[in-house]
Amino acid sequence: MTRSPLPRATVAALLMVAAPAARADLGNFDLSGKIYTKYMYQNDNTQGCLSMSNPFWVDNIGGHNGACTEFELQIKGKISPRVQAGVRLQSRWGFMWQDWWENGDLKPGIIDTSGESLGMNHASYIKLRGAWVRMAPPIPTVKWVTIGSTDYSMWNEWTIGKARYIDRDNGTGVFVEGEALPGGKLSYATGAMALPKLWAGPGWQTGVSGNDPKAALYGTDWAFAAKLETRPTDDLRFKLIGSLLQDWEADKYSPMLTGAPSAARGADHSVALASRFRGINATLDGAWSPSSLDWLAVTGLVAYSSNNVNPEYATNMVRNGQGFSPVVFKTDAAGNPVASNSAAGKLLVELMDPLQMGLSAKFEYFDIGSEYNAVMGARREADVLLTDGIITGGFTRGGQLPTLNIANEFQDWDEPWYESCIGWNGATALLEFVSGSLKVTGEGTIIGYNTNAQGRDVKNQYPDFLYTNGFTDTTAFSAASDYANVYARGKDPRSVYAEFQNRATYLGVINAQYALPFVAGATVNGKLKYVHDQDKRNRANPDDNYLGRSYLGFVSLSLQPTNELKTTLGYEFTYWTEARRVGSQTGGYYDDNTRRHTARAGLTYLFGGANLSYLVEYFHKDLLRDQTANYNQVWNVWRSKATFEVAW
Amino acid sequence: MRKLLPIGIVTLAALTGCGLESLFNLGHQAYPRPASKISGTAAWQGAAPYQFQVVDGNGKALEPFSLTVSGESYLVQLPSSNYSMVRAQARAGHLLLRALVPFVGPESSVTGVNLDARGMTETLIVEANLSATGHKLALLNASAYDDPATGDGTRKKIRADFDVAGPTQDLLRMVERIIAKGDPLSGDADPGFFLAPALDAGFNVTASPVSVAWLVKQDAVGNGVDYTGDGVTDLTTTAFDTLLGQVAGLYKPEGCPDDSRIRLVFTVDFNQGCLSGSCGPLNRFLWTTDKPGKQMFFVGWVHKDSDIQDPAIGAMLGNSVPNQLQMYDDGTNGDEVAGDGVYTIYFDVPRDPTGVEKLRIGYKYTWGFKGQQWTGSEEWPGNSRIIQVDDMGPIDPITGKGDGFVYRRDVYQDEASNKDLSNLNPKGNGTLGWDTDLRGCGIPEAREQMVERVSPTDPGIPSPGNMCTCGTHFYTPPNLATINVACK
Repeated sequence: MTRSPLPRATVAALLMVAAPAARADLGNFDLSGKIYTKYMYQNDNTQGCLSMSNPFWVDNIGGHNGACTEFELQIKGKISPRVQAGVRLQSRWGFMWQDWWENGDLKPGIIDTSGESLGMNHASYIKLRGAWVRMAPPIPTVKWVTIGSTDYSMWNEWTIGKARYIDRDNGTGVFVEGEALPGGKLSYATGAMALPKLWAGPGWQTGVSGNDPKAALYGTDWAFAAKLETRPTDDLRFKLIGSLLQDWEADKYSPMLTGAPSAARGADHSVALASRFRGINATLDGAWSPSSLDWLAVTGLVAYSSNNVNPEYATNMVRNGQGFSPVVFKTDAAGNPVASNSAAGKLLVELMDPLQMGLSAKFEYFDIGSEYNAVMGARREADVLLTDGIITGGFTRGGQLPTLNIANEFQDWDEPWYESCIGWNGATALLEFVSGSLKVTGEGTIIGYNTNAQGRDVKNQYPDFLYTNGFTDTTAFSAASDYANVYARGKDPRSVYAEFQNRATYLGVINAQYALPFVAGATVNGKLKYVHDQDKRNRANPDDNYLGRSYLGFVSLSLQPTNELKTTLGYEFTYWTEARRVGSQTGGYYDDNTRRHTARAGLTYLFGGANLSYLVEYFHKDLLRDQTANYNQVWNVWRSKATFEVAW
Repeated sequence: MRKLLPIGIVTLAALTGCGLESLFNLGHQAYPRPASKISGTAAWQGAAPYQFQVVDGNGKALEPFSLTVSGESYLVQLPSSNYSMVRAQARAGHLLLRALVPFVGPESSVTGVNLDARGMTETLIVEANLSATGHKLALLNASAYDDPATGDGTRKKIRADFDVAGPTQDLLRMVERIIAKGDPLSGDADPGFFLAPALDAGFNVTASPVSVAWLVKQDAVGNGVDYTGDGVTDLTTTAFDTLLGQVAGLYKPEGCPDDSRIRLVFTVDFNQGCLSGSCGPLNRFLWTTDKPGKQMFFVGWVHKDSDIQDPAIGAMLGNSVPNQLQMYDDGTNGDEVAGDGVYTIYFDVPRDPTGVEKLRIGYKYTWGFKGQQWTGSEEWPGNSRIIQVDDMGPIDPITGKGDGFVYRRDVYQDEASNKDLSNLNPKGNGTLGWDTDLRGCGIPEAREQMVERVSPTDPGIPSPGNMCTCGTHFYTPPNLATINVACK
């Protein structure tokens, strides 16, 4: 009989140690992954995989030539029947196939062969992008409590808007959702959200000392919101949303910050907070869909905003930032800062084929106050008005948002563009006719401007974003120079205030879509659009009188040869005549004409969970300017973008 | 309502810790801005508009953040700081009146700065005296003029003399009579009085504070000025100027020298391209790491070889703790030229008037962040600079005393000057003693140095970036006053 060299007690102890610890049940894990690759080409000398990057600080992310890949891993866990959690791990965008060596060390201003020059944002490091826990505690009325990441989608565009896709889980907060009365009679949601320090406040920040010497504190800044929703009858729904943005700074004259911690000075080892910015937004919207009239729907919204900037702690970017500011720095007649307040409202009546002949109609009235501003409202990827708007084209989609904080940046050339509708007052009529495979819509819109004024103070109070006139050319817009408007791309989409404005706009749009009966999966799309935009700016100066006419024709053909493959081919012609587009009160004004041809071809291929898309575009643009003031410009631009995505 | 209660409770509980606490500040009234306040009255009554200023000793207008005028009272609030020898002044019509403020500190107030005859007369006496003696108001020691602890000083003497018969009181009466003739609503472009006087070294007025043109104009309109009080209209300023010169010579606004202390001034040249003590090249960042946001600091201590061992001096010098005492390159605190890369700091240290007991100091410069440790911020690791605090000159040929300053100009990272050990100057043996004449200049290296002088009358300027050659004279920093105290 052989004896174990170890005593039994020791063996038992070792077994206990070696025994597996409590392990997670893999069944509670839900893993999903995604690889996303983008390829870009353009006949210019930039490199990267993002058409338009940071508009303010020069970064090394933007550029048109390169191939880039990112990886995403989502992990969701079911802790218990009433508690869930999840995270998203994502590699940082900016790694290029051509630069697989990059190790993340930054050599400012130096690009060499060491593989350590561009910084971490090119090293595809994995970053925690979202983390959340969701639970349903047995508390009366409470359905869910969520702690962690959010896309803010529980509010609306007029208060706190849904975050843009690339920021979809960057926001974090604590949220409670519940139902006070059953059956949807009264439900509620509340939330406290950490205020994003890089855009949600004066100067697009909430206290970053390198940008604003008057401020340094952002860890104390939060947004609060609450929503009450009620459906008193099956036909009627109301929703009340209120939000408060609070950007605090340390009261710079707190005795603890200004001298010795002496009780005689009033110092008490505490620092009080002073408000740098306080934004309040509230909306009440309702929808009435009478069950007895199933062809009728009426929705309406009233909104109110109040934005109060404290210039003691927020540098006046109207005065010191060339008029680029997401908030108004309003003052009273004595020069004291006061809140910028305004109301807004809209009413939409929809008649859905009431005559049973394929003809539907929508009528919308909108009146947005001249200072309504949802500082943390939707910045893009949303649309609050029915109209096609001014900024959209044939290939270019977009919308209107009630904020000065619109973000037409960190995007590619094929993505939508958004314009601010602050101050818009008008109406849209939209008729839609559907017959068989034909669908035609016609829109007529008239826009007046509550922002019309003579001698508005755009030097100290109202941001004009420097470029106040001309149709915005979203096709030719490039990050390299057009943020500074070097290539005369027209007005800034955020520009709603001007020193002299007396503006009215009329637009008409016809869209047609026809599914070709003789070719399976073939659809022809067409669009005609005319915009008449007149701004008789300075009443005292007859020469200061802008008149822009925009003519657009667009046609495209979509084919689907196989189940997996879909192709599109399109052409757009744009012609703008703009009288008195550029110039100054003293130097006079000059006319511009713009002619642009754009052709685009694309395909998508879906197969077994893999998704390939490719888009190639050529546009030729002539900017014909008054030769006494400026030279002409020509664009001949080829560019393409391909994406490949798999998710599992 | 019963349903709403839990909503509120749950919401509040869930959101606690999410910035809700900060909302307690919603009712917070902003703290008032800390200020150095000066208040008083103006000599004229009522609502006459006037231009108010506070000017520093160099005549430069300070920028108050608040000025409140109510009737004849005013309150001016300056950014909280130390201000010495400033003047409050106001202009209205014929009148330009001033009053001296010897000192106002941070978060404090000085009241009773009245723009009246007494305040104006005192100011005129001081201005006249300084003009004649060549002293600068900006360099006057406020406590030498008006010692807040004892009440002694020139101010006390002047004000006492206002109340007894004599030339000072006579001057006061003249000023009173002139002010009485002033019209704050006259709208004149130029004031009739009192401009800044100018005097020569013999106390003769060369530019009168009273305008002759104004006297003549007053006479022409039948409102002549009899400032002498003899019943005859005065059309010249001779009597006034003579008396002003006489009275100005009676006082010493600058105070009297303090033999118990000496002003020790350290300056360090941080510019690229400076030469070492052996006239060789230097690398400022040989031991120091440069990063954005770094500042120049001084750190010193009482050397173990010092006869005077006073913990208070050690504390004043920084007690060997690096990166605590910031030096200045902004034209203040004794710094001569803002932004020239030469940093300055000074200390008032005690000295033995007999010269028997020596004060010896070790020190270094550090280029660092506030509170940073030695590594990466010091000129070199280990060792130190040494200096014996002897006032080498310039020597007053009459009194035989020095100028009251010990002025040292160093070059950052210079290991070939007054570095005690591992000294790299090839003329030495690596070790610097207290009396080693390292560079053969005739004075020990661990002392106040001599600097170059361009001409015999030139006050001398330390050669930029070059302290390796022997200078010709000792330097008196122009932006610092000697340590004076109120005369007894």
